[in-house]
Amino acid sequence: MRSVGLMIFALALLTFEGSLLAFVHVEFFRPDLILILVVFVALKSEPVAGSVNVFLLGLIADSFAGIHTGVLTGAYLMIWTLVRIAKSFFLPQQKTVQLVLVFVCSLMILAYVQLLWPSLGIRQGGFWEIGGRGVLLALVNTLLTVPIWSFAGKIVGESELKRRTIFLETR
Amino acid sequence: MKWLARNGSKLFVLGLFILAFLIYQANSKGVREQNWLDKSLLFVTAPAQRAFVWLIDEAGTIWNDYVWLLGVADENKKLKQRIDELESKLVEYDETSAENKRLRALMGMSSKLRGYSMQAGRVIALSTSPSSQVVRIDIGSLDGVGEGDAVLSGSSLVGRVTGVTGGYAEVQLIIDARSSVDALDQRSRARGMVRGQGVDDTCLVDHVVRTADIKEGDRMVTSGIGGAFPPGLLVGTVVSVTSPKVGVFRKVLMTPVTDFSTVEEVLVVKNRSQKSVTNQEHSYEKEQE
Repeated sequence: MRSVGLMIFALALLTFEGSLLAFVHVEFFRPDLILILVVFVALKSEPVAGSVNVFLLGLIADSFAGIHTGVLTGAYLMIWTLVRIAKSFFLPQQKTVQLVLVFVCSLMILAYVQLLWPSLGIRQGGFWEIGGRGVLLALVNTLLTVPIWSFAGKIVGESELKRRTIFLETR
Repeated sequence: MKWLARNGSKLFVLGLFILAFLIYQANSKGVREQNWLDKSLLFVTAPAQRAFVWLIDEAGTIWNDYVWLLGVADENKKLKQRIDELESKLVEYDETSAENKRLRALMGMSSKLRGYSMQAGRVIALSTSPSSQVVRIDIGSLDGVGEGDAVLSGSSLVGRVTGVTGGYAEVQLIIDARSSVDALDQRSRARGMVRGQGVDDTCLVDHVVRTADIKEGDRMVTSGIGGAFPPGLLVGTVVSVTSPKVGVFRKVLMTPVTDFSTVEEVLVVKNRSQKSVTNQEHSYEKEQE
């Protein structure tokens, strides 16, 4: 049920974002809301369920982005894996560290897609844009992380999970 | 077995990676085609997006026409109300005038493209990924729109239809990194391939030979070769021409004429792909004869 909730939430976010972008004409304002959710899933959920969720989120994102199916699916799985590894090493419990993680992941995903372009027959890589426009895009993602995560937390019942964990720990 | 139980989740994730890679491999060989998932998501979410756009428009109208007037009614009721009425009317006139201009441009283009069937549509959403430049419009196969159809705004080229469902279509803009348009210099007729770079301001004009007569300020128009776009549509203006020390081609940059951030209404040239395919088939048959 949580997964279904998360998918519906992602669909609603992308539908709303797509329409909103038709009115907001700022070049660097194109937040990658699914990436924010992917990092959330990587930090909060179990490996198997989390990876399936990320896979499905990737398929949805590919469809909304209008790019070849599998591009963002693979990219998000890569990000999910890297965040899981980071989590196992230094347990990013602090909000600030998590926000930095979103910022770094935003830049990584742009670089990853740029790397994939040649395989689709697109010659120009455009890595220059990761330095300028990419940083702005990543900052927008970082700014939107807190509200998106708080909504996502409510949907997947994060507080309930926390309460149960604390309850078990105290027993 | 123990090893399998311990590493089961890792293997599962690896399997998903492989699946994603295989899906990508299967899809990356040609031009992107809409699959059942794309079509279903477009079918489900596009009406919501159209409703959202309508809601914003209506909210703007209500705000301009009613709420704003009620808000100022407390102070200097008569005068302010009058000013606000005039202001809101002015905004309305400006809006109508701008819409009129756009529609006139569309109609002007319509008369230029006699012989082609046209359909006007409205942009209802943009791509949510910064890596792609795709928009959704509120007309689809029920209106006669098909994949490969050219999309215009006024007299300039916007892109081409890459996916279509009943009432909606997906348009790949010419600034998308995967887009390429065969174009001509309007002045010298020098040929080049306009390729998007994924950003709003510039496109690359590829395959322009060193000897080609091409200058800054020249206008690039569609060549019509290949039948993907009608010939003579304005694509952009050349902003820089450099000749590298080595190599056969010049490096030419172009700014698109269309301001993609403000495109609201578009015109779809219907059945272009079918026509071009038919034309190509005819020419092939003639050659064979």
